[in-house]
Amino acid sequence: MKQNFRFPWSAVLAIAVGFVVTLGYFIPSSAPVVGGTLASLGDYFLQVGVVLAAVAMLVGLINLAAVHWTRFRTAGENRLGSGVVVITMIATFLLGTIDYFWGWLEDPNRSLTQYVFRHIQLPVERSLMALLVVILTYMAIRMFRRRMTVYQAVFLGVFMVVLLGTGLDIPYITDTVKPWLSNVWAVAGTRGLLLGIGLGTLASGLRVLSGVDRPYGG
Amino acid sequence: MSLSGIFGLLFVLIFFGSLLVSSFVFRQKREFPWRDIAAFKNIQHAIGLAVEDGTTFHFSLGRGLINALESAVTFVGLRMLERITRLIASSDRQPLVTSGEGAVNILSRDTLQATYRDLGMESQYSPSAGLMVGPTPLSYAAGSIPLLLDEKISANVLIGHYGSEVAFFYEAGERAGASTVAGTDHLEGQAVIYAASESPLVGEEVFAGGAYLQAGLLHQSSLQVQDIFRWVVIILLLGGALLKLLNLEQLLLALISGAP
Repeated sequence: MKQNFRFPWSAVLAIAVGFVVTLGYFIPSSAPVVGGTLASLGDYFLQVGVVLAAVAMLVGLINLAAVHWTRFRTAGENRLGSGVVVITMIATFLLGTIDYFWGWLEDPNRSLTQYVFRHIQLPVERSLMALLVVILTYMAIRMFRRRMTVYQAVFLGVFMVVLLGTGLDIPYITDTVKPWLSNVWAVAGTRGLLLGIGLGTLASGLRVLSGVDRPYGG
Repeated sequence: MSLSGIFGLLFVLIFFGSLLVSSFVFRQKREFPWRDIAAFKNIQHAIGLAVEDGTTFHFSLGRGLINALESAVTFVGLRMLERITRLIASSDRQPLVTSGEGAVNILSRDTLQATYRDLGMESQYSPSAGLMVGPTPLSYAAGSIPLLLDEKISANVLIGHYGSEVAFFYEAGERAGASTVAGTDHLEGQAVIYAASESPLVGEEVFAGGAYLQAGLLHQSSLQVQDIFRWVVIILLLGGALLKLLNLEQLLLALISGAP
């Protein structure tokens, strides 16, 4: 029986680069024999990675435009929204091109893209932040309606105390209870969570480094 | 090499060695002490629902950069995506995968294509199933909402790097009538998920996703090793605090450095 065996070149390359960068992180450049080589190779790979990530972002934006163009051409409920996305992408690209050729990119008073950022994107994102506050408040209220566990009751209780202690000047709560909760309990809890996340990150990284997980499809 | 460098490298090597030993032990035992995590049960239920109803399964990989610390949780998400795609491949619809970073978008499409190819169903794969919705947190969330409402999704699974904007996904999921399960490595995002969901993934639980979806022995054994190392780190922290309390840390440092 003929078997289709493909040598996993991408996995071998990823594992090799991963090991060089990891060792370069732990072994300082001043270390004898391999220190300098590892450090400079690691730096080089990281720089290549940054450039590739930027190119990938461009590919992602092209993908975004292509998908919305397809949705705009085929009749759908949000056809208009997709059309607006495509038009604004093209317009922003043209403004960026004008900025580049006129030399306005670095000039905040003349740059058209910075104008768009300040007067369109920033206000829209601020509005979304305001909307987020409403949604979060709604979620907090909805917690009351759910079957309450001890942990959720503690969560809500602390949330209310910190909220009141921050917004209002209530004696004892603002100056004693709220700082105690924020500086002692919250910091301890955060460290506990970060400890778990750190170990999870390490395990996940080692699985990728050893080639068990191959997110690159190798 | 500095003392912290030696300790760091030793820690990583011992952790990796423990992973290998643990996976060997579990290969022999073939039993694993699972802890019930409601969120993963909900994901499995949602997979079944998507296959039965022929509805769309939305999987979001977050906005974490691939060349930063948050890439670890994104890799977990990609592994879960691969498992979920295998399980719902028999359905008419392929999953809708969104992300907020270009490289993650490429990897998500690559994962989908490789999985369908592996199953001998590459003709079912469409590149439009993997979308980069927006590069900033709020543009990602705002861009995802109409997608979720348009595609008539039945499940909304978010595994990746999210901040407080994860609330928008919960709200959109609810409006679309889909069950939402989310996990992130971001503390702010975890707080929002805790408030929004009855079955939140808190702390390192998100990293257990691969193990709970049967992604392989090393995923399961890494849960065990994480538990052991967590206790080791806790004991070291308490020991350090005790040494400081008894004013013995200078003596210990002198002993390590070999000073008289």
